[in-house]
Amino acid sequence: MDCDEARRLLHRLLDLEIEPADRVRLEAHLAVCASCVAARAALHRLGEAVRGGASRYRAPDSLAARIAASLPDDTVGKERARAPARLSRARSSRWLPLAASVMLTALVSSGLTFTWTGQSDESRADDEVVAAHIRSLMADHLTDVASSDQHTVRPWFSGRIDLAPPVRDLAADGFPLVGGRLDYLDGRASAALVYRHGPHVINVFVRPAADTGAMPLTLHSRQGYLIGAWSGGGLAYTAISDVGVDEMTRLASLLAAGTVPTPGPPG
Amino acid sequence: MSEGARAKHFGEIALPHLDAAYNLARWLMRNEVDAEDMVQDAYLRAFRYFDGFAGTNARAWLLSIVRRVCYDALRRRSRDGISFEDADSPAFDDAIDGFVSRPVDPETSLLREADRALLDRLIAALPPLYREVIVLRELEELSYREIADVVGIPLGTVMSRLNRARALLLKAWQTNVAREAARGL
Repeated sequence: MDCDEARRLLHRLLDLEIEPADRVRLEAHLAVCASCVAARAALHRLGEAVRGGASRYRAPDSLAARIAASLPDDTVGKERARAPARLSRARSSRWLPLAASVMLTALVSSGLTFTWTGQSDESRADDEVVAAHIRSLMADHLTDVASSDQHTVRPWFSGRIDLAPPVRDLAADGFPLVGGRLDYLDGRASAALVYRHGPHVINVFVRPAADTGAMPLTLHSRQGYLIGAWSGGGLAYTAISDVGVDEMTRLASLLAAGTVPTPGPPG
Repeated sequence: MSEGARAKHFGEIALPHLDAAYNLARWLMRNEVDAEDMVQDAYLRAFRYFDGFAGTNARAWLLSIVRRVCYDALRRRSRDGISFEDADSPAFDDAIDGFVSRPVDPETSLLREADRALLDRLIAALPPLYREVIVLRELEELSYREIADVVGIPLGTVMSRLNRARALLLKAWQTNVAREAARGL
């Protein structure tokens, strides 16, 4: 490999979009070329500086209202227009400098089916989930235990809540674990796992499921947030974020794939 | 579906991506007033063609519309005498050639300052075709595939544009920080 090709592939390496074979060839070149190593360092610092230093402009709240007013039914977007401005500050200040990119892989292997339910019937439960999500972003209470180490987060829950949520760091898949938190939904304690995807925070609430059967992922949106719900292994999962459908589906499939099936219902 | 229900459904899918839409428009238009107008226009167009949207990636779909609206406006203005830079012009090739193969000093102190104002200014100074790939990749964290969909170019072109955009930005950054260092800042 010559330096010109190496310099081109450096971008793909840093963007986590490199083919495995190219990666091997590039790393062989980097082992013997100091100037390409230096170029990688410079690109890496530039990327960190841009992600951490450049502005990600947030739409003014009035814009959602303006758009809503110009659509046939002016109820659209009102919730968002009322959403507290503090939300965006909380989000941007916790910006991770480097987040892995989404690798859009086929979801076939996960066994999850995708259902778009335009609107949920369980609107009150949804409102609680949305409120818990917003609260976690606003009140500087995103996590009770802040750690990307699943071996720190998992034991933290034991003794505090009567279930063992499967905690896994998914940083390699673009969803770094931020930590865990105790929250309350439906008047009972719920484990909240906090993941991040780029600038987005994802709360995953885990509660005991009504039955041990697995329920495939369903998605719907509520007050501008996307809510994904599924269950398996005796646990019910509710994930909420402002990520897109693809990312939510992917996170759900990753979490569901890691769920160990329970031995079977007693009796 | 009634118009109201259709609008509600559209809102649920499109409004979560309003920040991404605004951020792209704000970077392309380089001012708040235009950015708001472009996003509003784009959302109305998106609503009009919403029935034709069958994909799952609403964000990429919306961003591609925002982008088109912004470029239409920029092109209109360039006809009015405001220059509209073209990434494929030979001048930009010249600016980058020779840079890519030049060694970079790893210990250079040029990159130590993550100065928000400076970075914003330098990114804003990039030609739009380079600026947008930096914004989509670094700030919106889109994959190469998504960028290809938004910009409407092949994957290979996404990569070459991103490479050139970063080379330009790196060069401008080093030059600026060196200038400040020379002034004793």
